[in-house]
Amino acid sequence: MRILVIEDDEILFDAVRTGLVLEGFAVDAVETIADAREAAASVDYDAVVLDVGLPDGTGLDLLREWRKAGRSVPVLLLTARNSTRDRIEGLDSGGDDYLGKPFDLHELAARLRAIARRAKGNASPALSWGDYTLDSASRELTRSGEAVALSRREFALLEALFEQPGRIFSRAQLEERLYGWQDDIGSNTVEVHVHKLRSKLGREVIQTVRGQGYKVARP
Amino acid sequence: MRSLRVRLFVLLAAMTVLVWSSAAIWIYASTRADVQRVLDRRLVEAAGMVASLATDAEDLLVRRPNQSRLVPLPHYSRQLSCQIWTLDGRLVGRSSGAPSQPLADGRSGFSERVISGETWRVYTIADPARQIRVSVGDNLRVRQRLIGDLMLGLLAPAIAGGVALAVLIWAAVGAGLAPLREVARLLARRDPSDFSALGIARPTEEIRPLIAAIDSQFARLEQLRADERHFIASAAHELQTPLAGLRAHADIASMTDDAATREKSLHSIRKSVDRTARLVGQLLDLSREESGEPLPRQWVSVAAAMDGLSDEFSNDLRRADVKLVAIDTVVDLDLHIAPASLLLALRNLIKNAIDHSPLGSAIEISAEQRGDCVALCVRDQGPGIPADELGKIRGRFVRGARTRGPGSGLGLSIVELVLSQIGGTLHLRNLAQGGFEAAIVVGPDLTRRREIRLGAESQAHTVSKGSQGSN
Repeated sequence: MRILVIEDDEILFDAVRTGLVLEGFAVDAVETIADAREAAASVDYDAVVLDVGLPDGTGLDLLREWRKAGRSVPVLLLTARNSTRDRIEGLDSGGDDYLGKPFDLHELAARLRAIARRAKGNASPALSWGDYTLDSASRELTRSGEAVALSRREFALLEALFEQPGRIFSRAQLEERLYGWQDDIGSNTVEVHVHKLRSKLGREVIQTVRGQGYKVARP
Repeated sequence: MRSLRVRLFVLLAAMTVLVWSSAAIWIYASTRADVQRVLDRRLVEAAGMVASLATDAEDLLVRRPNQSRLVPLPHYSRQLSCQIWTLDGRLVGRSSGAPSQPLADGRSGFSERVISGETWRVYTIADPARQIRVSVGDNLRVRQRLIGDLMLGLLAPAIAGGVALAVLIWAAVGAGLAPLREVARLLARRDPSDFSALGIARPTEEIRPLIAAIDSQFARLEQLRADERHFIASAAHELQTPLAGLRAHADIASMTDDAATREKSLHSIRKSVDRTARLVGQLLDLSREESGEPLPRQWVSVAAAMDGLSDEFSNDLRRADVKLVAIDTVVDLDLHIAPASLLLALRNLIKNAIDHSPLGSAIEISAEQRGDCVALCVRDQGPGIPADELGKIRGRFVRGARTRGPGSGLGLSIVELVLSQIGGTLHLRNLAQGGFEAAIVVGPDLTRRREIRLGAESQAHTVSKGSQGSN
């Protein structure tokens, strides 16, 4: 799941980025509204962590701007201004969730998973496909109750496919979802991960759509 | 007198009593004169009437050789006494109750005479044709009683009127003071946290200044409280972010298995703690400067302050690879300021300069004359502040938009606050040759140039002092 973090405090910026990567997200982080605008224009994020107080304006303005332009990306507002009135204003400006500083990193990750899940129309935290159950919170894949060990990227790739069965993802789309700007894609390309997944799960799970990309069949 | 109402009442009552007493004296005097005149006229008329009724003296004497025969004289009220004398001094008639001694001494017209302890006012007519003299007299005691009764008759309604007036004055003073009472009532009933205007629609002219003063005081308090609240909220907000960073890095350190990531997080935690400590320190400085008694001022050597600060900042300077250079113009400069205040101001300016200095650059401290004033300048070689931000940068918790340093946005406020207490100002500008200058500008009365003794003697002195210090 690819997340955009917009946070201007150097130390917190570092912490959120590192923490969310540890939680299995692909994370891009920027410090200003101008940079956030640019990032959001080029990448389709699964969710955004938006600090309200930013050096070049308030995050709420950016949020309203996005909502007005029809961008529906789930946004979690992160702010030190944590009064009821502030929370109401944040949510009414188009925020999907609100988290006051200081916060627990696990909670931030869980809330991000929740708003991203709902944005894709899934209520249950566990994705099922055939015999498989994929739990985003514990980052576990089970087949008929038996755990299947996956790497972080393999899990993320399978999660993307399971979230929207039947949808065809191009290589670029999957790459976008798996890697932040920080990450060195190198030789660990999407093909390599698909290959590894197929060797663990069997060939029938992930289908190649010639010339377009990959999908899992609708169950 | 503690009550305005009682005070006004006493004043008004005293004045009323005074006016009424004067009026009473006047009425007494004029009534007395009127009564005298009227009664005198009665005497004249009575005397005339008696004289006209009497026959001549011979006839009276013949027909009535004894006084008893004179009784049929017209009977007047007991207030009046009448005597008829012959011109040669024989009493030929008198009214009942009239004394037998002559009422008058024989002269015509008005006279007064004391007869057996009673004073009589007498009018006498002599009639030479009939050889008689008629005297009619009033007993003055009776006259006095008449005037006394008249005055008493006036006094009773006056007392009743006075009591009624007192009640009315009391009520009227009460009603007149109603606007004041209203203000007092509004103030007494007011919630202590309510700083809104009193809201008196049409205040009485006299209390308008009072209400205006109260309202403006309330407005000022309200503003102060709003500022304070905003400051506290901002301070709390400023603390939340580093706390969030601390918390998140602590989470990471306990989550990760990777030693390098953990080490990095621990490093961030240390950095965040330092920053939070600095922020808290600055908040304390600010509140101390704002609420504390002004510290006693003395002549402080800027060079000595600089020495102390360069020691204090030696670690920061080394880490940032920045040199702190004092130009000779400050060597002999003294400022009249509390030493702690000078240190506080310079510390904040130098810290800012260090935070914004590029690696390997220098921070220059210099002094220069600007008109009458002296400017103590802290110059760095950093990127400066965009022109549109220069105006706002002094605000509390305001940081430059491009700033990524550890500043809290309080430093310049602290410097301004310190300077405002000695009448100095803080001048900020980007330098034409690059870099930024923050200047403490103070008036000529707060600066002096110290005479520097150069040569062996002073050096020896310094050395000996140094060696003493190291022992």
